Amino acid sequence: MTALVSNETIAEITQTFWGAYLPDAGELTLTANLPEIDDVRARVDIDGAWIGSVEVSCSMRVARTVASVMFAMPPEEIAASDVSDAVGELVNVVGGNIKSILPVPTSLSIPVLDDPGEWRFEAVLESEVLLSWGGEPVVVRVWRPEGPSA
Amino acid sequence: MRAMVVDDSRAMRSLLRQILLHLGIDVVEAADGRAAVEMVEAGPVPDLALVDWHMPVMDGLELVVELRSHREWRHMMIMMVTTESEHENMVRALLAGANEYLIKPFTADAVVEKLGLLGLHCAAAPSGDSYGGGILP
Amino acid sequence: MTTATTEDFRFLQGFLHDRSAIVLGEDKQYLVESRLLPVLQRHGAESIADLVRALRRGDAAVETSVVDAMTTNETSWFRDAAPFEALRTYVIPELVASNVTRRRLAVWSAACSTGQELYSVAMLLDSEFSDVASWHLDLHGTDLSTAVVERARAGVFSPLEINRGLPAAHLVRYFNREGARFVISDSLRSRARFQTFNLARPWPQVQDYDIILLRNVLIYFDVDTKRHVLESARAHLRPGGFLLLGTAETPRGLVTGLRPVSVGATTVFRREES
Repeated sequence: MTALVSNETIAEITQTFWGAYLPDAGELTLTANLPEIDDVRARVDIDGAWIGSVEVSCSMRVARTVASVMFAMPPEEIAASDVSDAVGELVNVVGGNIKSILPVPTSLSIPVLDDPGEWRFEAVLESEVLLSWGGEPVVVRVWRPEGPSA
Repeated sequence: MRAMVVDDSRAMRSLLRQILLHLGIDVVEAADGRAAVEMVEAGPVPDLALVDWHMPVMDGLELVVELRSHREWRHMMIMMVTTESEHENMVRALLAGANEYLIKPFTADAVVEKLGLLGLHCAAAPSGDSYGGGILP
Repeated sequence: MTTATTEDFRFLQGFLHDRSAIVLGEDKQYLVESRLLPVLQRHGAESIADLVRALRRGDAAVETSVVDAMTTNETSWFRDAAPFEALRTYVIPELVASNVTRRRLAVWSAACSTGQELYSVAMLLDSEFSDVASWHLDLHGTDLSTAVVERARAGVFSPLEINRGLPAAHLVRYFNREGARFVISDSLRSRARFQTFNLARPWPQVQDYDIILLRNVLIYFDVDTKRHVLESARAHLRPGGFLLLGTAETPRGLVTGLRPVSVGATTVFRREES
């Protein structure tokens, strides 16, 4: 089956986060291949008329930059909990904007941080969008339950 | 002027706090709807509440309903600041008593303009150009 | 190399003045570079010098991109608030009274950018002046830039644009979701028409407008162009019609026959009966 939300739309949503909150940090561009660096992962779960999860993973350097802008602190003063919180907000914004395009009604979970193990379902990858921030990866994945979907 | 930022993300509260402080607005923070209600009960009542939707304990819509059930707090302006932008949900929040709606992500300019719509005047405007400013030259 | 040499900058100043009558200040070199960076990428140019060479050759695609990049304005809904308050409390009520037998109202947004100004007027008319709904409404928007005129015509806006000064009550009433974007309702879009138009060039035959919005445009023109634009605007206004300028702009000393009327925090200019 084809994905309800196109890769272009996922990229646009993620780039909008960058443009709004990190206007001076350089562009986030769509790319075909990148080194697999999943230093930091966070996801939100969507339930209701559409069931699935949106996950964002990125390198520690990207995560620190996002956190440092949002917390208005130099990257070296950023704590691990700040990094998780900032990436949590990134996945909340990306997942929340994806949710608004899906069939209604759905509900959005609180971000699940640093916990890639505990999933509600056997997840199958529906979409994977690779973005590059100066060669550093930002990856957005949309996961669906295995088998005939809702 | 005093604003209460209600969001479960510390990063988002920090971002909003920076924008509001820059506008000369005092900021208090709450991490969920229940904590926000307790903060308003303890006083002083803020002039403005910026409210996220998806939060633990008590979500933003429940918070709006709760805040609007107190007549003595009715002068408080409430603006939703959330990714939730389903048409039906935006209508629900406005009917529950939210005065304005800001969709995440947002720029500092958008915050200033929304405060203007609420009739709240700011001490200083942010320097616009870094957020994609005006026509040249 | 994405920095501009003095010679390239001079050429760009001349090119832009020729195309749009915009006077580019000496201190704008940095802004020129940052605005042209996406144009470089789009046209595969390696440097500003490459871009200037393409302009000298008369490459039409590059010319359009450069003019668009240099003049495109990030805009907001109900921009600056006060002019829209003046429209709501004074200008439109005056025109509703004077046009009641003609049952016609014509509004021109003369530097319409991506359409927010004209669509704001359309929302104001629809939400506050229900009498006018059955009149013949001409809502006309023009801009120098082809790219923004096309966007205005499409009426599709990103969430970032939607956030800029649009009251939530209007958002839920006049916009529909389309993917990650918001589309203005057909009822408003079908009433607005958009065209490319260069204010600095000779204007076509005189049309009758009740309201001309010419905000934050004059400040970029030299005195002769200002006079030409203001005289043309006055000629395109019906007697008793209104011209709205930007906060820092005035017709004083440039054109006669426009009477300032102070409304709230702003001033509008009314064409005297001839």
